[in-house]
Amino acid sequence: MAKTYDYLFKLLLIGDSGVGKTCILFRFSEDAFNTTFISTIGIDFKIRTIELDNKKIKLQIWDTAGQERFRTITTAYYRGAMGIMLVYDITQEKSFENIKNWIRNIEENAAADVEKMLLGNKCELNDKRQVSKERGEQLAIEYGIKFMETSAKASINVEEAFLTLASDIKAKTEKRMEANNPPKGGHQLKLTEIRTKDSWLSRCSLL
Amino acid sequence: MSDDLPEEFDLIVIGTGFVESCVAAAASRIGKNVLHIDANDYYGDVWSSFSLEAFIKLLEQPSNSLRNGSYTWHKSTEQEEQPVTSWTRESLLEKSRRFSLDLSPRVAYCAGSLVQLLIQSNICRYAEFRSLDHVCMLYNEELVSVPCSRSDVFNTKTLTMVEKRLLMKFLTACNDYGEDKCNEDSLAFRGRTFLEYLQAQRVTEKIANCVMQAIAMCDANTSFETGMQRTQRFLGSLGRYGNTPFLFPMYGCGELPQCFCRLCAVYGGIYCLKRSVDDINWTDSELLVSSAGKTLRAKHLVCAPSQLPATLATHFGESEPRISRGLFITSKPLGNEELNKGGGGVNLLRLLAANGEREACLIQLSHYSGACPEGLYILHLTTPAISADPAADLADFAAQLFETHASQILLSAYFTIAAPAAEGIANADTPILCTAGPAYEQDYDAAIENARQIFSQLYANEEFLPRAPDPEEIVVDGEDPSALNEHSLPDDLRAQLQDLEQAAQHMDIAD
Amino acid sequence: MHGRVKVRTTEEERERKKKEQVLKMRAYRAAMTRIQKKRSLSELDDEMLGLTVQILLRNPDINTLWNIRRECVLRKIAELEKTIKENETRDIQKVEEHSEGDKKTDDEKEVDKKEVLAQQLQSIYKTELELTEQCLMVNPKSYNSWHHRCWTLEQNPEADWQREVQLCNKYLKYDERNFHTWDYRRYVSEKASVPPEQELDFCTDKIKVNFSNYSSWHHRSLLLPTLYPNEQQDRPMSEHKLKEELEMVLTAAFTDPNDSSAWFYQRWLLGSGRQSEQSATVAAFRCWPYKAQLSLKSSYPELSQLTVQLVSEQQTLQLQPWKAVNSEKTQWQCEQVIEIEPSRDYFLDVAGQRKQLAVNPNDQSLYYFVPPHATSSCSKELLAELQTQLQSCLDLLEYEPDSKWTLLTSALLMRAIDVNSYHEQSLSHLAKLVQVDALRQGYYKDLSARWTMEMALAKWPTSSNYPQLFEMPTEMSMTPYAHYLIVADKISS
Repeated sequence: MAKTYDYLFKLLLIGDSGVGKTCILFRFSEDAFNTTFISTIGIDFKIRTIELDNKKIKLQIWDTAGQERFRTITTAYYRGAMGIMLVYDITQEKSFENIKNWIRNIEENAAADVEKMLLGNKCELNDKRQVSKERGEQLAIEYGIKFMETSAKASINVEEAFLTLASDIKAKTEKRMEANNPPKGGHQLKLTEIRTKDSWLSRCSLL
Repeated sequence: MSDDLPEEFDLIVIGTGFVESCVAAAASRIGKNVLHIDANDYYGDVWSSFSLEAFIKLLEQPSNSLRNGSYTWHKSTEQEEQPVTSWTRESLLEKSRRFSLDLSPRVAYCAGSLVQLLIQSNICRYAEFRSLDHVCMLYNEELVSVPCSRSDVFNTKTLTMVEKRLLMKFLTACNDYGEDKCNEDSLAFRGRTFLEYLQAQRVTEKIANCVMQAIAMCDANTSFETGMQRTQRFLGSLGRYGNTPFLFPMYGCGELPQCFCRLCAVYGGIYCLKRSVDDINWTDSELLVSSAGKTLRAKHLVCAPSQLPATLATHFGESEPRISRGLFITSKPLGNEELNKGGGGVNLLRLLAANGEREACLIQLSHYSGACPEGLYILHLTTPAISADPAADLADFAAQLFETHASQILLSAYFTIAAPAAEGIANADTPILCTAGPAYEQDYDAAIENARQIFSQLYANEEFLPRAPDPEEIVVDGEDPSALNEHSLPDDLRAQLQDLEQAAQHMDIAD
Repeated sequence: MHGRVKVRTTEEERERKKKEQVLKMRAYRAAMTRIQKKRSLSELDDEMLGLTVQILLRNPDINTLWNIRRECVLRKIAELEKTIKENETRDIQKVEEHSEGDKKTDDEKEVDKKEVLAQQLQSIYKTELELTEQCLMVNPKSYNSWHHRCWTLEQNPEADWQREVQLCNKYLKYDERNFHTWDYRRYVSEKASVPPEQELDFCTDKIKVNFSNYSSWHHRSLLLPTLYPNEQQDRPMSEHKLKEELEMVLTAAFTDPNDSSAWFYQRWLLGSGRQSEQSATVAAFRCWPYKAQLSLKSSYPELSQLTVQLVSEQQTLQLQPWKAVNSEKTQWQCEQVIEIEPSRDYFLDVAGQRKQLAVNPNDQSLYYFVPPHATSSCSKELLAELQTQLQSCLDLLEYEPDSKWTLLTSALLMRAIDVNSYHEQSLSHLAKLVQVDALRQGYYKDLSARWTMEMALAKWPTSSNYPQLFEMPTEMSMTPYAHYLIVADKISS
């Protein structure tokens, strides 16, 4: 029962390879940026707890594990996600064009009410820019979602983006709880303590 | 997508079914360079789940591993009911994506091999499960819930007080059995059947039925030891998650292979779907896979029988019917309100054919399983195939279910899952390791054993799926492993320390 | 690139933990020092509240810090109330100064301001409730957190008790056996005026989930006597409800005889109902010209506090002072000269209970005697249920002749049905229990002695030797009810 947070939100990062999803993840969770290469082998999500209106919110942010490379993201990746960061690289036109495909993918696999946000990353590389800020804004308006330009390297807007997404999810969650309509959930398997042979009886006994 | 795919691997795995995915994950986990491909554009092969539309399309296109498919739409016979609830083919297809229709559905024991493997490997973080609501049996043609846990026994109205005591006493004895090998019972009943043992315990007929049909899942020929083992497996799985000893994966069993694939990818495995293999050749030291005009080289190769290139399939023997499947979508659950509280239970029922020699397993799914829309139910019927006609194989069982229990079937479908016989696979004279294909079983014992055995053939001295560390345990490149990262502190402590620092700057307080 | 994952070694992990511990310790010391300094300066402000939170969240059991918080809260409330008062006095002055014309707008402003103040007040309470809730997440059995929560609610005249009941529901879902939560539940459900029927339903649901739960059986035993009162007061509740409860608890006991919680509840159900006798009930009395002796059914702290009188038509004599004769304080003596005229009718009056006294033909002393635990009659319906249950137990004994629990329960059921006819059989069950459950043989022997003595005392008034001679039953390992025997002149063994 010892639980140190009020809400747990599962967030996803989605977008083409090389747009900087992992860097955004590490900037937000570790406040670190490694220009050479961050070895992400074995790391499939990072956790950071934030505080919003006196509520502790544990954000569990999942990375694609390279399965975006050949568009083989498993449907299971989308299960239970409450928020999705769609990321493109402002210096790669193609990554921006592909956002539409990713949104279609999300619509097919994620929950209908998942909160989405669009990020144009690497905004510190203005001289190599291929996608204008206006086009990003326009696309976001088209899909009715929020938009920000970020830089994981220069630490611009990364914190803000996650806080915005989290606070939108929080508002939605609380609204649903007020309507007394809590989400139905299954069991997450946990390594419970070794049980005795009589656990199926679970009795209390003084004798 | 003629791509930047590397061409050399430690291991290439073909097919993303349960067993292949297990092997791929295990190899990647110990640092092997893995390529995992599948001819289909979806994960899971014959272990996959489908939307309604995709499922119907699949039945129309027979393949090596999935054949004899047929389906029938039924008109709703419900007339007196309000038309709002009456479903049509169109309204079902509109919700096509809300369905996860399994080809190979199963339940898992809460302390069984699958759950143990998922927990031990930490793959459990990718999956979520629904605890089954009821384990049922047919008693006097009536579908009744079998009391599983102690609180079930306490609450049930179907047993008398003395019967409750007898059942509990019997189960306790089974639970304690085995601690003492020279126990009287084990000596007296060695070599005899479990049914004989049960009869010797002076239990009533109803209790005998509960135990034989649902708890020990035995027939008249099951040996005493096997019956005991199964009863213990059932009891050992109680009291962990929910009220019954069984779990069903949320959104269908097709999620499970994907969980293993995710782990494989997290450890660097590369994934390509919609990539068929034209041919496989080999030298003494490596295998050469021709695929999409490219030649991929690997030290080892594991392949699902369903995805073997035609040139090689003959080495492994002819594919033959293995499992006969029935799948029904209905607008009314089986059994009474008690069995389907709150809009439907996720229930399990083991059926025996009239002659007692064949059995089938029925899994009823409601929207709580995440596998179908609210108000609809999926009934999965599975039996070992005895012919190439799945409907005929299942006729006896379907009759037991639908003749006496009015049910609003909207769609009925039948198909056969086929695979080469185990001997054929074992005797093939190639360096390709072929997986076994799904077998009729509760839980995933045989499938996991198959994966384990292939893995140990590949990497004899390596551990099979050791625990994957949690992200916070992993040392990122360039980090001092014993340094205390500010982000790893609890956030309130972090805030407090920041306050302290500020205060120290202002007031020069030393500690 | 394809290297294996690097995981911190246990040594490295230990070092990290150590560093974290040092930081925690430093933060704790700094906060504590600051708190003490501020307290000595009586700075009970928001900073103080913030400092205590930091520590309490990690360790909710430092009572001093809760005390400090209470001081802070009280001060904050006092300040707010002072502001409210000042506003009011200013208002009165304003009303006097202003003409009728602008009064309305001022009123509106005033309403706003009052609301703001009321909100501020509520937010003080809310902060405290949220903190205790967080602390209880850390340690659901923290006495101090529970206590602080109660205190906060008591301070607030507008406390939302209903919400507290919901909170209990939530906590009991996590841990249905936490007795802290059950205690708290009784407290808040009374404040929230939750109908006892609803509480009983809640309790039933919890028992259905897991009947191994002392707390929920206990909760039940507190609710039932008020919900289904028993008029004669010789049973814990109405016979109709008792029948249902007995059935439920026997089902639990049959399901798992080794669970003791159901077992305890059943003993309570089969008991006489009166939990603790606050009044002093007279068991036996005797009085000679120079002294009086009085025995009570159960112990009483100080008999001299009650009015004990010897009453006849002619006179009323106050008996006192009383001195306890035994350590259990069931037997008392009063040395006083008492004039007795054997031909008269005498009554003993103890705090309003009036008992008619008889005369001992031997020494002309006056006496009163009533045997312990007179059998109470029960309705046909209840009797039928008890008999069914006894039959179930006896059936079960066929299968499990050595079942301790069944042996004892059937003996208790027999006595509830008919003490006299089942006397021998119930004692034989105890004798069997002494053999099969040697660990508790002392308990069974005591019980056996009590039942034997009860029977002997019950039969005594009809014997020819009464009241001069009491024949002690044979093979008594102890003598319970010895204080009843003040009436006898002689005790033979």
